[in-house]
Amino acid sequence: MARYAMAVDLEKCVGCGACVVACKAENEVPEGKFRLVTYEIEQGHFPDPKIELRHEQCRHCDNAPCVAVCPTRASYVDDNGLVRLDYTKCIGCKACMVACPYDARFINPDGGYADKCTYCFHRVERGEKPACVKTCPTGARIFGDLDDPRSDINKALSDNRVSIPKKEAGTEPKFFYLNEELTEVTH
Amino acid sequence: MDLAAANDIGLWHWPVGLHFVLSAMVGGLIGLGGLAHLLKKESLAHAAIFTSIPVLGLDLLALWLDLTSRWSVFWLFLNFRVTSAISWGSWSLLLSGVVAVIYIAVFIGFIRPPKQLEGKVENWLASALIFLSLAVTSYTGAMFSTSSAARPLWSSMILAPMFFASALAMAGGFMELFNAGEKVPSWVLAISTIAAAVMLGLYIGELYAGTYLVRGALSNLLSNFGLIWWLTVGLGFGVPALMGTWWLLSERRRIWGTTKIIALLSLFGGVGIRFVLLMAGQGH
Repeated sequence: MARYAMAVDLEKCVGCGACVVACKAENEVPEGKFRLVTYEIEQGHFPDPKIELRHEQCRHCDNAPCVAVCPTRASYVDDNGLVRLDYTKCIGCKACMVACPYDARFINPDGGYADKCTYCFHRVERGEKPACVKTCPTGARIFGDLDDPRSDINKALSDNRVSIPKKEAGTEPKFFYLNEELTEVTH
Repeated sequence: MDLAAANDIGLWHWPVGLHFVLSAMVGGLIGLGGLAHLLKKESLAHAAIFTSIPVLGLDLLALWLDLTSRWSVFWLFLNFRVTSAISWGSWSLLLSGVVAVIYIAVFIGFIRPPKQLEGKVENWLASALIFLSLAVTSYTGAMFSTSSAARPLWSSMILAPMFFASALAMAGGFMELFNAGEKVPSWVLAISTIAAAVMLGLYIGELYAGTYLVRGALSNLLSNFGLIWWLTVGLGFGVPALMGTWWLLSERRRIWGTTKIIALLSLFGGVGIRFVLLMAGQGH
């Protein structure tokens, strides 16, 4: 049993998009759909403009609203704390998509079911890191077990400034930003 | 570009709005029918409960059309999850159909209860329909509320009871306008419209007093759906509630057609509020 989480060090991220490409290739995400995206936010004015990257994907929340609202139990939390989907049970009612504060889910056009990031559980089960973590050239993406005090993720969370996007939604996400500088204006 | 834009996620479209309206009609009709039966207005009860059956068929068709994995729909009825409004809503709809069919079967003599239970069975079925009506009419409101972590416009638990009162007013209005036989008791129409309007007022108060996220969602609602929103609130809820209050308080001054106007406006309000909240509430 583990409690897997991920963090992105925004000071290290250079916005190369390798994580996005690795995710699509590893998980055969259909054309035009993404389990993970990065985008830039800009603040300030000349001569002191600031740019910072943001990463969006499923947060594998401890208090996942997408799981609670699923009428067929297609969405569930596995023994490792990952929010997973049994695609055969999904009816495509979109209740999970509506309930997700992060808009992390989409309908897979090939199968008609809800789809999203799985933290590459198929790799993690083999003892490997998720594809986005493995491929990141600057080591900005960190993955590990929150229940293991010696894990990379626990070290990163204790050594850096930590912020949680949309914390106010109360879903207790297991995805963190490290060393975030800019505050995103949400309204 | 954020994830929602990158994936061009289309959430709930008009078939879901239609499903919301039709499920309100089904729930309202079985609730009204059950109540009418217990009030010994059996002709009205039979008409309302009989009408609910084809409406339920259309309702389930609308819901099914919006699914993206339609042939997996049987999984809905192999599971039950109390935290999922869709789960208990779909079970309630299914049971409503079954109980309504049994009620009609008993009425036409297709099913004959034992002699010692004659009369009692119909009363039990009518009571069951009233109970199911609570679930069928309120589950769409509960569905909104359970998504409030993501959709601040829906962050209110009052939506479920408001939808129940509005559904009863819609069904009462429908039967008032289209049923040639026994009339809907006007006090049912008046009280349900007043209750729905009071709860809508409380909901609007909650929106204005909400967090910055809720007020942001309200601002989006008003800028994108302002005209239809205020028409729905005013004409669909405010005016019928005022007319209903007047009807209740001044019995000697009833004017012919008052209940027809309340009925028509309640139908407009019930349809409008469901579509506007559905379409406007899907943003963050």
